[in-house]
Amino acid sequence: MLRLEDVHAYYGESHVLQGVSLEVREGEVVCLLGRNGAGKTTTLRAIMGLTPPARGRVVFRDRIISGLPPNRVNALGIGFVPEDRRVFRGLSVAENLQVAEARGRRQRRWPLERIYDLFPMLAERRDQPGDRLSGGQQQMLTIARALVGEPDLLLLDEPNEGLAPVVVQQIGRLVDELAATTTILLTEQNIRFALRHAKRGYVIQKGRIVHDAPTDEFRTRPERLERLLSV
Amino acid sequence: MSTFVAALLNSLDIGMLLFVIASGLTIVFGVLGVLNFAHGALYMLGAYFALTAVRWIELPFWAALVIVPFAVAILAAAVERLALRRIYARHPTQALLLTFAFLLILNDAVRMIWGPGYQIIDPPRALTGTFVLAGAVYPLYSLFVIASGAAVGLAVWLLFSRTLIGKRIRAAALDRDMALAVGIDVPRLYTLVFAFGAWLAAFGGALAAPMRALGPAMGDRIIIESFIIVVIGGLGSFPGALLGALILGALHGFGGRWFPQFDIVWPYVGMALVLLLRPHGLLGRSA
Ligand SMILES: Nc1ncnc2c1ncn2[C@@H]1O[C@H](COP(=O)(O)OP(=O)(O)O)[C@@H](O)[C@H]1O
Ligand SMILES: [Mg+2]
Repeated sequence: MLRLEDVHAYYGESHVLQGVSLEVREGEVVCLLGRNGAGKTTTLRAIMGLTPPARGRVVFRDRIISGLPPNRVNALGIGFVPEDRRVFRGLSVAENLQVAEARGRRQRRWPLERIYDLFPMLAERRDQPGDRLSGGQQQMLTIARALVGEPDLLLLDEPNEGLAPVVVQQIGRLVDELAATTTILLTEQNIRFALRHAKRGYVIQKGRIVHDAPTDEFRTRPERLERLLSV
Repeated sequence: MSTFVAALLNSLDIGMLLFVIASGLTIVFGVLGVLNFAHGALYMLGAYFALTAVRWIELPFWAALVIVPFAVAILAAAVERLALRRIYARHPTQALLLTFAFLLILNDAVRMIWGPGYQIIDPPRALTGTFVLAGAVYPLYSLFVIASGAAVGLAVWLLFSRTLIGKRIRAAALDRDMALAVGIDVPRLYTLVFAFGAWLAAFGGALAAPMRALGPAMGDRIIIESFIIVVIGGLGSFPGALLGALILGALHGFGGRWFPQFDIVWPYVGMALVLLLRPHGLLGRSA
């Protein structure tokens, strides 16, 4: 469904992604593991077109999407949940969802009623400004905001960063639930969360994929991954 | 008493006119991050277009008031598409320089087309009269200016607080990358917002035409006053533009009546005071 082929990306002069290749198949939950500064966020930004690849390509459903602006990438069916949450401060919860709704589609899998069913806490606070929510609530809001865009592929950037263990559990359950209908690529530093919820993993280090862990190894020999991450 | 009422009405008509114009400047800055130096020139263009429409094409003033701002907005949209859009990513001073170039071009174009002299147009027949309030005689047209300013202000507020496109513009202003990532066509909104800012300037120009003499320097004075207003109110703040404009209107209306020799000085005094006490403006966010 999604394929990155030798993707290079820069921030100004600094060469952050140095040839990232990876693949996500329809229906999978894939985790991109790596330490702080390894290039996880940049990989997701490159997919979205927020940090357009300088070299290499991103293919989504047989279509080259590298070079498209992020709003077009989103319209093709890729939803993005950024690491630092980034709700639109000053817009209410309802408005945060409203501006992101996919319009003009006949079939909506995530109409607002269903979103509010899934996140009753958001329904209760729909008129509150987005930045009044707690960290965990903001994370739910950014996930909900991505869902109303009707994504077929969801990019989750470190969805647990800085959140309390209860919230991490909630997000884990949510990922499992979403996985039934949506393909997911998530990034993590924490291998335990990845093992519990993802089927496959890649390890990224200094902008390069250094390890591609197939399903069995991912689950049966986590020590190897652990070693790669702790170096 | 009657001089007080006259000064108050005068403050309000100057203030509401300035509010319409300055709100365009502040909205463009708040969303695009571009301080549009040509904003006063667009105001002037609105006035001269209205002059041409009324005097040469012989349209009724009402029709000019509706059509002219759209014509200027389309021109501004073209400038945004063809030039401004290419340089957002660069240093902000480049956008400033570009709008400054746009200002110089428009100023010279106005001089070439309409000549250097002063011109006036008459208010529409229905609004030529006067009315008496608490003993003061007052032109009816001023009342129309006040009402129009209030109506435009309310419409702008509803646009940004109630409509989908207004909310999307706010989202784009708050976080451009995130807005793009949730599917908002931010570049298209930028064009719209820049054009809308020009619409407000030109509407102000057409509205002002029957009560001010038209001259090729009229834009320069307005851009300075608009800058002062947004500095007083807080850059990028829409309520701030209203507050700043009303303050400036009062400085002219009251200050100009009792200390007319200082009329030019008042705005600067007001701005200096605000900058000393609240560097981000009265309603500006400190960030
Ligand atoms: N906006 C930026 N400008 C310059 N360098 C950046 C920027 N964002 C990230 N980097 C650098 O790029 C590298 C990869 O960052 P990132 O993709 O955010 O890593 P991760 O998400 O894995 O922590 C890091 O060395 C980081 O310092
Ligand atoms: Mg990151």
